[in-house]
Amino acid sequence: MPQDVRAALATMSAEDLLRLRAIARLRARALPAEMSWSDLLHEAVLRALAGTRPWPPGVPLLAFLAGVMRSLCDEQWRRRRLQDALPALEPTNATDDPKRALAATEAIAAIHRLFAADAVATRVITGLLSDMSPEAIRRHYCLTSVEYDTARRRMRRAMLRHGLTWSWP
Amino acid sequence: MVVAMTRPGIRSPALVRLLDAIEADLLTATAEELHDALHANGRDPGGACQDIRALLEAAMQQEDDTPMPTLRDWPTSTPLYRH
Repeated sequence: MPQDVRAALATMSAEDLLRLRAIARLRARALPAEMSWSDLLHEAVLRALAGTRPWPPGVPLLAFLAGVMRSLCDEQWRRRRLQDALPALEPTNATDDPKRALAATEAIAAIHRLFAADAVATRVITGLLSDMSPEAIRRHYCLTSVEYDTARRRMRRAMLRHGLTWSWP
Repeated sequence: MVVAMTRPGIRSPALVRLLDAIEADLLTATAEELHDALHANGRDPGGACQDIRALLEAAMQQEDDTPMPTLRDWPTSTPLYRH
């Protein structure tokens, strides 16, 4: 119900607001360049309030809004594709869109730059990009559980630092 | 040519996978990690929250003014909150 979303938004904790900001900035990395994280978050909230994206029972508001932003990124690229009148062989498949692929390449490069001095984090990122499970990443790169978990914590802290301010390399 | 070197068919899904994994980490970030991140950047947590609250309030205000947003026109036709 839209009114439930409104009430929940009004009472979001300070921590959830910060998480929301970091996630919006993260997801905006996969948007066309001229679109900002605040555009993305604004639209996600509008859709949640309007009920065009129903808030499933039992799902935390933060996770719900994160999911809306994720799907908005896909939608935005689909719309861009239609505007560019590019033929879509598979409308739901983003893989043959060169502009999106270029934007993704730039975003991946930015994330890699963030962790250029962290060899273990770089391996973890490479593994995640290759769709490897945590176990597969640990096995492939000979990482202990502690090394893997510590790298993920460093990644989270770094992404928070950059997601809560303006700076992206 | 740059576009030709991006290997369409590989990069976009890979980025989505990476962002999904990082997002899962951010969803479970502790209050301590959030405050540490702000402190490391010299930002006041209250100010950072205020930015987001203002954005949410702007969206709520817009939803009040236009009960049926023109979703097809996102994001160029709506007066969007900007930082």
